[in-house]
Amino acid sequence: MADLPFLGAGVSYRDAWRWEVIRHRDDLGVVECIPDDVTGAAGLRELVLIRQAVPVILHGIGLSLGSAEGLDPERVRHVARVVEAVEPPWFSEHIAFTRAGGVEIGHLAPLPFTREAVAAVAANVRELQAALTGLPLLLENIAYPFPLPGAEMTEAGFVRAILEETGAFLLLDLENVHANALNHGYDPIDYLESLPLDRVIEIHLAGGLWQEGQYMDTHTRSVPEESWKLLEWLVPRSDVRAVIIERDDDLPPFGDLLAEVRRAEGCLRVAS
Amino acid sequence: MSLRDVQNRLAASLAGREPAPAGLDEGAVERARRSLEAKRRRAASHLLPRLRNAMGDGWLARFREHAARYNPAGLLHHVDDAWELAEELLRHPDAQVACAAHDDLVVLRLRYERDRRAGAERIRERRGPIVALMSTPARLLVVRMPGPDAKVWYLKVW
Amino acid sequence: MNPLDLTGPEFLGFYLPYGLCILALAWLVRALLYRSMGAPPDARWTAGTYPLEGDAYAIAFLRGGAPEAVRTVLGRLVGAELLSVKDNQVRALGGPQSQAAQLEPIESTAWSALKPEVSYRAVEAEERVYSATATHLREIEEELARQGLLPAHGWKSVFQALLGLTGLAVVGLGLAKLLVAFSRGKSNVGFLILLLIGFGFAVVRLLPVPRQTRAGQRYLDWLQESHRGLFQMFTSGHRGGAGEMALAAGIYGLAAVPDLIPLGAAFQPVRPAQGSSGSSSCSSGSSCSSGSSCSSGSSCGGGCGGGGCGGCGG
Repeated sequence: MADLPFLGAGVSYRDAWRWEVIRHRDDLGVVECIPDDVTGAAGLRELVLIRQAVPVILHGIGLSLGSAEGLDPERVRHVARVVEAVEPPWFSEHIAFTRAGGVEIGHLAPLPFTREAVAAVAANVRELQAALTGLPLLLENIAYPFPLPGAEMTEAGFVRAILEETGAFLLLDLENVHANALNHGYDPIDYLESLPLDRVIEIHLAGGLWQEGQYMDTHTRSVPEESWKLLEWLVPRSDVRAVIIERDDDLPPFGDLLAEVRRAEGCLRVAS
Repeated sequence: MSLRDVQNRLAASLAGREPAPAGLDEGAVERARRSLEAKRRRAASHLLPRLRNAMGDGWLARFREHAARYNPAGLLHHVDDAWELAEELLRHPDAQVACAAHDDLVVLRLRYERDRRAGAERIRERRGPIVALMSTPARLLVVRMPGPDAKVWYLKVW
Repeated sequence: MNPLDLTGPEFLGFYLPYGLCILALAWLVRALLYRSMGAPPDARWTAGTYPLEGDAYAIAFLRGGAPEAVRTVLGRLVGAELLSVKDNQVRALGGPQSQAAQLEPIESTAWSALKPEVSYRAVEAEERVYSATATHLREIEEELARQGLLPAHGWKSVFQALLGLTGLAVVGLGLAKLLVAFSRGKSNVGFLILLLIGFGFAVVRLLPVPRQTRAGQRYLDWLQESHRGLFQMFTSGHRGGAGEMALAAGIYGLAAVPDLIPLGAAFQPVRPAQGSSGSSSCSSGSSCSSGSSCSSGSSCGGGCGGGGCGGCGG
């Protein structure tokens, strides 16, 4: 863990910000790119050009690490190619599944909190780790609109079991914690206290909105104060190396995001 | 039920092909299904802007029909999704819609190739050349040279 | 054997392979010379190190010499609203002292070369600025040569000599034969004239005196590739700051910045800027690379959040 570099705060990359990221390279500690969105040699080249300006980390969204049917070799090969080109300090994915029975869900679906699910994730993670030749792996908690029945442990216990089984680190999405706490009625601090905080390497922050009585982690708003408070609580208790501000849609002026990056950077500095 | 069964049932219900598995909040699953369909539709709108415009108010219903029937696949499943829809609409009785479908497909073909054979990579980066005619925004002859990041020429024709 | 004494068909049978061999040899010599020219530049001037806005003039000089550097300076002044362009006329505007105080030395010198509120033809303004900034331009040129991005003066002479000697050897021989043919009353010299034109064209195209060294060309290529986002920012209608305008103009030419197109047009007919405009449609006859960069596809998390099902708005 001591080998993992401290990167600071940054943003998730969007094509619309191609120049902004270069222009503000001195204000960004890191940029997070999604390898699933990278197509062809030119796409790889683009990532390398960004990396020449700002450190780049990679965040997968389509490997479906929770799939009982195993990983898709084509996707694993694609991720390995992107990792080889970019040489990030770590790779992250989700504790979720995105396809099953020939159906591409198109989003991250929750897993039941069961030992069988832990085993499925662990098997897939081992296969991925082999393909990525030992690159440190981070796993992210997701927001879920409904829990699956048959839980054998709590959500925190599930995450802990996966990390212990795989040796992976944790990418803690605080907005997902915030959303789940609101939607499923628990205290986010209690949840965080149940996690192995010494395994937290990266944080995601984002903003969502209420829809049909549920708080949706849409990544379309500024980071809410509740999530900032969670960050302030968490940072002194862990060894966070990077904080990413995520914004997927309703993109604001880049300056607004930079303000959030600066605030995150400030939290990291206070703790150090 | 095994994990595989749970996941198969959940995926099918989120795609609108089956009811929610037992023990799940049906309302929540239905909300999720609608959200996912909306996400697919937004992605398709970005990839098929002419078609989206040409169909106007009919876009929502037509996409819903398509989404219920078609399972996109592969790494670039959103491209596969849009491609399939555009091909379906090439024979639309409204000439404007058919034309928009044709032009949006030309733009997709400039960048990608599609292979529907079992086991093949469904959507991959185009390497081969293309010569095609487009009608929007103007009557254009489009020529793509061979190679992965090839030049594309847009020549006005009358 | 004196080739000038050969008959027409015999001479053509000799001249064509002779010319091709000489051209091939000269091209090879040029390629070897080009590779060996220039020492490796400092990290600041190599691919991978993003330039500062103030490097715009050096980049413009590297791309197109002193004229491009001067036009980029003028473009910067237009961007800072210290210069206006209308109907091929350039006019220095008064501007507040605070704005003038923020100018780089070359910019300040350029601005001072033009009397305030006087309209100059663009070409005249360019000449005045060129004269006034001669020292700055020389310093830029020397620095670029020191960095191995521009050929040192001695190298230019070598390439010029290669071009001249090859031209003499190939085109000169053909011309000599043509004169001999005319002096002997021969008029069926059509093929020879065609060969002369072809070889002349080939000499000029294959053996140009290089503007930049290999390192300089690589650096320019990297600049144009890595700043595609800047290019697209301007071509998609965003204005950007004066410094960014200058950087874009330095890398791609004045035509890359919509606000500077009138200035560019004042010097010459408008040409499409060097650089790619991604996959958007282009004007007739122009070429655009299909630029498959990272797209914001709709995949999980990329479209609407890293949450679970229903994480996306309806």
